[in-house]
Amino acid sequence: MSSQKMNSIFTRMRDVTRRHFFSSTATGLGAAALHSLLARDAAAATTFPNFAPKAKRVIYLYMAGGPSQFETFDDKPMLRKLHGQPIPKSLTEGVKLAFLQYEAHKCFGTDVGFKKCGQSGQNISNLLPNLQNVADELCVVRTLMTDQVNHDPAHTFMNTGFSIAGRPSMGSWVSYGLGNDSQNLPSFVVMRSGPEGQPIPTTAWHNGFLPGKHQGVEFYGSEQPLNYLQSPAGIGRKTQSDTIDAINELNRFYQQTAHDKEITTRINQYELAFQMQTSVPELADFSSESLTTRESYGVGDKPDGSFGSNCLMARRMAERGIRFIQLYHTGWDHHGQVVKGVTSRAKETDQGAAALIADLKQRGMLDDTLVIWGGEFGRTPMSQGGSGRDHHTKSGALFMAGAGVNAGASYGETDDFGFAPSIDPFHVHDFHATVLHLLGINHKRLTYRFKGFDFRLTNVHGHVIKDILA
Amino acid sequence: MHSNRHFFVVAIVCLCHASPLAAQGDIQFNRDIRPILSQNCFYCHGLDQNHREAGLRLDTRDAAIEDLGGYQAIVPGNASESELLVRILSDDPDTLMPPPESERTITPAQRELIARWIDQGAEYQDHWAWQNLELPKVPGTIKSQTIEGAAAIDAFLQQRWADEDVKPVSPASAREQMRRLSFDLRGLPPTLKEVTDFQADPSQSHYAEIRDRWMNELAYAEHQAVRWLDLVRWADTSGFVSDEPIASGAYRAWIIKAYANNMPFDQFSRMQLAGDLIENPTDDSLVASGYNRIVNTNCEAGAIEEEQLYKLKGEHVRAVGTVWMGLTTGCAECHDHKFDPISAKDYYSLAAFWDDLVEAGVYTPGDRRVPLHYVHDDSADSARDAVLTAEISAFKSQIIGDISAADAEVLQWEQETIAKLKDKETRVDFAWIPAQLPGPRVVEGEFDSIKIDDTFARETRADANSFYRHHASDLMTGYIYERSQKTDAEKDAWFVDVWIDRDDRPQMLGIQVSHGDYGRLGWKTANYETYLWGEDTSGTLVQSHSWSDPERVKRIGDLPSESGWVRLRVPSSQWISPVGGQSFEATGMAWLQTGGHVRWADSGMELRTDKATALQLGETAIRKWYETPWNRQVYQSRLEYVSKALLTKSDQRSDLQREIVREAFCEQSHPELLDRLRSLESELYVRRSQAMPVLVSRSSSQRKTTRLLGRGDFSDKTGPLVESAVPEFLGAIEADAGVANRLHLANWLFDQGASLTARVYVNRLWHQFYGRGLSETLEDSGTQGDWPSHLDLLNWLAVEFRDSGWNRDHMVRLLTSTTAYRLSSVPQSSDPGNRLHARQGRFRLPAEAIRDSALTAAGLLMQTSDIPLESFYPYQPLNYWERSSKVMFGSRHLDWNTSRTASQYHRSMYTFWKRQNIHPTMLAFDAPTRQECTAKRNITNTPGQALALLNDPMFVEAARVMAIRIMQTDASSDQERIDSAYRFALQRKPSARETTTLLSLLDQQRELFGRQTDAAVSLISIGQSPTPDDIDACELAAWTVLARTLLNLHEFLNRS
Repeated sequence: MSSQKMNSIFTRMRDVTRRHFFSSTATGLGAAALHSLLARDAAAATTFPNFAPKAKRVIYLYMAGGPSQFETFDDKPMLRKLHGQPIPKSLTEGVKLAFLQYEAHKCFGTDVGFKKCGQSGQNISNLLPNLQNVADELCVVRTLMTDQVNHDPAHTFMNTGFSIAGRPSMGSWVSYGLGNDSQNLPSFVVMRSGPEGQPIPTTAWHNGFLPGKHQGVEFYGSEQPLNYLQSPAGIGRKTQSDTIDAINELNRFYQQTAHDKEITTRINQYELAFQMQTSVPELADFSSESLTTRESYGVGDKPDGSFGSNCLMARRMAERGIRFIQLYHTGWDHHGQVVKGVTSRAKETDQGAAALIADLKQRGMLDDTLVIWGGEFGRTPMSQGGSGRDHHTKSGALFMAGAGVNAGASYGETDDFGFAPSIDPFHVHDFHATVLHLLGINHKRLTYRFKGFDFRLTNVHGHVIKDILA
Repeated sequence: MHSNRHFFVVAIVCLCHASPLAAQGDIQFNRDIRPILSQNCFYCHGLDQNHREAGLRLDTRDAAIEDLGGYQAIVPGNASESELLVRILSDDPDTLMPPPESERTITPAQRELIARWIDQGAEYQDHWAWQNLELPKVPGTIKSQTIEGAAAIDAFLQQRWADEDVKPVSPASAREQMRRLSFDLRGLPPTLKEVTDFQADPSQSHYAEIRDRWMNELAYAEHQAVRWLDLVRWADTSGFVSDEPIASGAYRAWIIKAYANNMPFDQFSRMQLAGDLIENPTDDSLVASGYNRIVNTNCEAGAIEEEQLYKLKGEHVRAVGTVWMGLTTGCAECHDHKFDPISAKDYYSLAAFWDDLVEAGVYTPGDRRVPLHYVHDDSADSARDAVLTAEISAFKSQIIGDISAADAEVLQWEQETIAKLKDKETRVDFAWIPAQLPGPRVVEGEFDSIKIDDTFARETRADANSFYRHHASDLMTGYIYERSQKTDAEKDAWFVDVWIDRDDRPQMLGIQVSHGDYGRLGWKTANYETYLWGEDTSGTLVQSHSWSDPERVKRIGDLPSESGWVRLRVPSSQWISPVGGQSFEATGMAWLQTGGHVRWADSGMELRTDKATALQLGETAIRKWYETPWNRQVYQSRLEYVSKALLTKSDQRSDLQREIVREAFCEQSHPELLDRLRSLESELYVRRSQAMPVLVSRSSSQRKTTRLLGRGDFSDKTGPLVESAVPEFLGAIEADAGVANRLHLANWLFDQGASLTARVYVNRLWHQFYGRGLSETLEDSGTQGDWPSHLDLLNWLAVEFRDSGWNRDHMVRLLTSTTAYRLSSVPQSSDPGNRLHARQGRFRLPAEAIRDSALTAAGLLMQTSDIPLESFYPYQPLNYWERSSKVMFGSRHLDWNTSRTASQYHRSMYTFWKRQNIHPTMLAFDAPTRQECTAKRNITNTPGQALALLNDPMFVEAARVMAIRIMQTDASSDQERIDSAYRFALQRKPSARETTTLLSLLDQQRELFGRQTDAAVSLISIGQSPTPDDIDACELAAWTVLARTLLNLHEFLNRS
């Protein structure tokens, strides 16, 4: 029996007990007892991690647009067998679809070919030859479920647990809960690569109601990864340093009359800003990487904005203590020509993703770095317009690797058509709960009060999926 | 479960007190108990009946003391007999409340409070925000004496100081008072003169005089408007992924104007919620109704119309809750509110107020959000607009309303038309852009419209060897993907009929086909293809322009040798290929000439009959949905909608297809009326292309319906339909007849709902002038919100506001007239959160005020009496949008076109506000994205702010121009110049040690730049404001560094 099913039975049993509560203990307390009980300490103030974490940081390879599971991680021979035939109506009835609202529902079998890889026998598409090589590191989930069938709300949901803008994203929550482990870099960094045309909503890495320092900071894949990082033309390092010294000195004078603690913070932030002007470009300087390493990612001595380049940057960020790194790669929205599309995207991302996992492993960093690969939703087993696939909320694939993850395992199976989970559904809320758990955070305790409500990343949902844990 | 109890008997009682007042024995339910129960219990034992556990409810006293069969959750007067206490004190995880897996805990101090409250009788109180508003007694008043105005406010505060034995700090210095008042009122620093004048005469009357003068400035209205813009989430763009401009500029201007005129808050609100529903709506009231339309709208092709319509309702419900009611109404979308008495039914009933709005759930990217109202500069144009609109509407009903045709006649037309749609033999012209331009949204260049021999033409002239171009795009006749029309490389062609004056022949003629995605003009040069005949002796087309790339200019041949009417054609074999495999739709055309006098008639395509007919039929569908919001799937197919409908067997046509076939028939069978209609449309829309489009509310005759959805799921049809209503616990609207509409709602807010509306508003005003809200949760005055520090004062202010006729300026005067307002802000250790207001608040300035202050110090800030209708584009990091793929393909609107004129120095509130990507410096300083309503901005202090202030060219330029100002004073020494610098930036003199620090910085930099003139020149070249030629570059660079230092000071960034 899957842990989630057990979980729900347990919940039900407990609910039954609760319903009897008020009849079973109706005896009252003595006054003395009342007094003494009142004096007990409450649970210690919440600090994070709540328990020993497996992962210290996350690198989340976010394949934006909705990567097709059928061309990557979920092989369905039945679809090939019934290619072009109608899919059973019993599956599709009442399911929210996007474009296929308007079209017949026909099975679409893929011909990309799959291979059982490594000792674990992970079944991975031949479009991802490099990831096939690290198959034994992956825990592949094939039953990803979401509530949102369109990109914008689905990105927002996948990242914030809510479909309307305004909630903090997972990276922001993690930053808020665990703080910043790096000296002079932000705790949550986002990078993008991939084709233009379909923007990703910035709500995906917004801090929502959490303090602004927890917002995902977007780094560019170039030598100057951050806005306003470079001093103005004509201002050399010495002048910048002199200026900041003067600013801080004058602020210290002001502090003596103003007695404002924010001044101390501001002085520190200016020091930090100055350090970042060196540390961030240094982060983006690949010249210290060995040729072998650079070649494994497929990059030169400078960031070039490619996914592989961002992966190498991510590893360098991980080394510097950045808590949550999210690499978006766009262009996975294949309503037509899905095989061609996935082939292109795979060529752009497969090498970098696999190189990252191998590189982390070789450096011993995979033990405490959680790597995630996935998009905002999966795609339909039915074709759209003969060659593409529509957005799909009922099934999709992602993988996790590294810290605390059951390497080489799989979680969840879909039905023969790949339409919906047959066992072990993995809802976005479960995903969030599980990732937080790996970071040593009880997802129910990571809360923030806003508009009078103690908000959580998992809202009122989410189960830690134990089978994914090592 | 009691077995472990004795372990704790020996524990020593040592409680930390949650509330000093409660500790003294006086426990108030609302202040002390409700927050605890609300946070820990109501989630399962509150209003939400679908989620209520064990049938127990603790949010009402009746339910809480109910006999549950020999025991009660609460036994008033007897905590130890109360099951509630037993449960929260239990050490058995199976019985402990709240349950351990909820991860909620009640602290010992809170337990103690609950026990004492029960012992004291467990009295409940109505929630403060929802009680009827009554004038509280002002402390210290005796019968014969009343304390009014600001003195009353002080009296409330002083009473608390006395109660809590707190001494207020001393008054702020005259300079500090001026800075505070100026920033609070205008969002700008005072001038040096304003400060010195007040220092010379710091009397109360002088203070009031200055204040009133400032309140009469536009800057006051602008600054006050910013908070409202945050609240109603005003932005330039639509929000979701495509995030494109909506025509919202006029609405922003209206808000500012309303502040400038001190429009009473009730009227102000009524105009926005229902400016289209009032009697005799005006331009202004319609513009104000834009409030209902600046919602986030989606245009994803896969989005489901019905679901999106419910999402739009959600936007309205959340907004009205936040903006006016301080209620988190949005929380009741999927279930009854957990804490406040708002049921899911209340949510949907509230949503139903917007059911009348004309809007679509899923829009087409790029197509402007509609309906629009057009504001013309000239009242004659407005009048003509109204006449034309009425005439067009009359013609339309005359044409479409004609049902006299016999079925046989209709059938015959259908058959003939279908035959044409299948005709692959003959050829015919498709006059895509008739001489009389059909509803262009983009018109560049001028022309004279003339009619000769019953033929329309556009007449243009150019001097010999000079170039002239006029362009029309985004037309009512739709956009064409021309490549899909090709059947023959030579016969298919672009054409234009043009008349050449034999006495004034041009040197060159040309046409340009402009393209874009989703039917709107793109911004890249690759979007244009240019074809020419003759010689461009002006040399224009060999150069690059935003609208032409020499690589994409093709000479087709010589000018026709004949004069008079000729046809220029570009066969498809000659068409210029699209760039990079991205071929977009043709959206318009430009007509070019070098020299000469010409008249342009129809332009279009020569096509096979089947192709041309299908395109021609598109006119009916385009007209039907023109400026009417419509679902993207239908709307986008409009050009071929009629032909597809006709080609569908008549018994298989949908209702909409049947309707449109009939309309097409009616139009085609009234050719004369149709011509007249086209002509009127052309006149109207050419006129409108020069007017200001404004997104407005319009009420539809066909209301949408709202259903009470289970768990917020739009596909759940089991719930009842609801009618518009306010949340039941707040009363009901008595609509005279029929359905309560937005106007009723607006009126209710200031009538029965006034107590709440007034409290919410004055609480936010207090925050604005004192640095914190009396209730600190400005966005939530519900039960989970912060208990007000001075409830009586809050109520007093609310009464004052209501009884003043919702006079905002009156309240601003009051709040700035108190003694407390003018106190120093030096913190007191006894009250770090300043809940007692024995000092003033201090906080970092909002993003806008920081840039505006820097520009003021430089003398660069542009202030005019005209309120800009359009946003401007300050310097922004290179490719902040493009590089990051933040812009949809082909959107002409979202090319960041840095403002190159004086508008670069507009006040920051006019910065182009793209919800997904607001300006990075604004973002760094906590400006909200305005995707959701914001009542209170965050205030953070980050290294990103330091980087922006140090390195963003807008601040570097400000420093440089301020340095020029410093150098141009008649000061005779560096010391005196530093004095000036301080006056410009901080309106004070520097101290001796400040001067010393800066003199040393100056010396260092002089020395440094003296050795690196290049660096100096680079630095002083930043920004578009000119530098005097005769200025010494090294000297200016050194002073720029000094000025930049001042613009980064904490003092510069703070209001104290």
